[in-house]
Amino acid sequence: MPIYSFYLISKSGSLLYQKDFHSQNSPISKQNSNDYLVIASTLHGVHAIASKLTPEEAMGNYEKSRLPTNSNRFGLQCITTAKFKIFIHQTTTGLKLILFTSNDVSLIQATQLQGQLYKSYADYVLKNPFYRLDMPIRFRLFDDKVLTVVTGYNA
Amino acid sequence: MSTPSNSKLMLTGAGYNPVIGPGSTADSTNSLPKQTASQRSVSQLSSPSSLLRLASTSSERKLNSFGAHASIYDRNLHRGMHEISLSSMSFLFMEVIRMSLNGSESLLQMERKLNNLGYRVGLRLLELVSLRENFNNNLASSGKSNTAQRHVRVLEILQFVKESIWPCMFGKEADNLEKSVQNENQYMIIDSDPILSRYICVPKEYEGLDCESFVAGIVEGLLDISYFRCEVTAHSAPLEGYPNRTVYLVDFDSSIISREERLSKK
Repeated sequence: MPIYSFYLISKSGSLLYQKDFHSQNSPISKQNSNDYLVIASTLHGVHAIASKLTPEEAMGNYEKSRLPTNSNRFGLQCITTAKFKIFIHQTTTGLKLILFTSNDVSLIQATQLQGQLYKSYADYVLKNPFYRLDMPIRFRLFDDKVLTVVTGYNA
Repeated sequence: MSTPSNSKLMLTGAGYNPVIGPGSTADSTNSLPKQTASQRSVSQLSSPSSLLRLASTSSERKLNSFGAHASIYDRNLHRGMHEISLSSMSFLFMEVIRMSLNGSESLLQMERKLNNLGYRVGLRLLELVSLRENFNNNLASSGKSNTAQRHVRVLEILQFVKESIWPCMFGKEADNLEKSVQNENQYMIIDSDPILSRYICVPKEYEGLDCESFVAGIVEGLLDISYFRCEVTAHSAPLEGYPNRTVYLVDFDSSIISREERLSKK
């Protein structure tokens, strides 16, 4: 159940952090940095549109699903394609954690992993005095932490 | 309002009353704040005596809402466990760093500021830790002396820093204590995973800055106050698996070294 890549998007839709993970036969090819920005802002927009389109009857689904830290109530939660899945997790402050995974990862598993990644964000980014909110994240400690969390899951 | 009911209010105000039961604390919190609020508005205009009354009632209110021990001054200095949340400490330390970063022109000046902040902590910490050690020795009634020992030798005080101060501050001993090979008045205290800067990663534009200068200042303060004149600086020395490993370099004054030689001759 490999994880292909991980995105962090701020509440205004700008890309804070992006990381591709090496795994064999990954369907995700390497893009240039401009494309990553485009992917991030597209997902942000689509997510916002989806939350407007959610039918009245489906509004209660979130309460039933009991995902504790996920405040992604009415928006896009998961996109399934033939080759990979995209999971979107939104925190209470509007930060989005997006995972590109293989098809056999379930929503529960993805949510667990996103919770762990959120924790390392809260620890290694928000508690760092040199970080300015809504700016791109470039910290070696956070990089290491994300890598250990994801490789621990991939293994 | 008659006097008896007033005095009863005072009595119930002193915390949990076993005669009345759980209601004793619940009731008074509802009634007392109103009273103090009205008194406060009066006291702004009137004499110092009413100010005094305000002070006494506000301390009562603290006693009411938080139970028997209200402020840090009412608590016993000796506590078996005195742990605080690492997250809140990290956030506080983060703001300390931001504050000293904002007002300083160079990284050296910023480290100096952190060092000075720590220095003042160190002056007080020595007293507190010796006091707590005393309590522990008395409780254990071991063969150790019951009075705090004043350390006069360099190695003794450094051992004390490593084995008593570090557990009090960080809940673990410092990892190593070394003597410098090149310089006889330099000693090194080494911590592989300093807790205060566990989440801190210094970016490239601030390269060379070490936030552990604060801890270095604490060590310097407590060495100074125990008559070991020295300068302490923090240097990061990362190792594989320990990205934040820090060396605290203790540079003793030459007078201390000559005193040490004199003492060892005896």
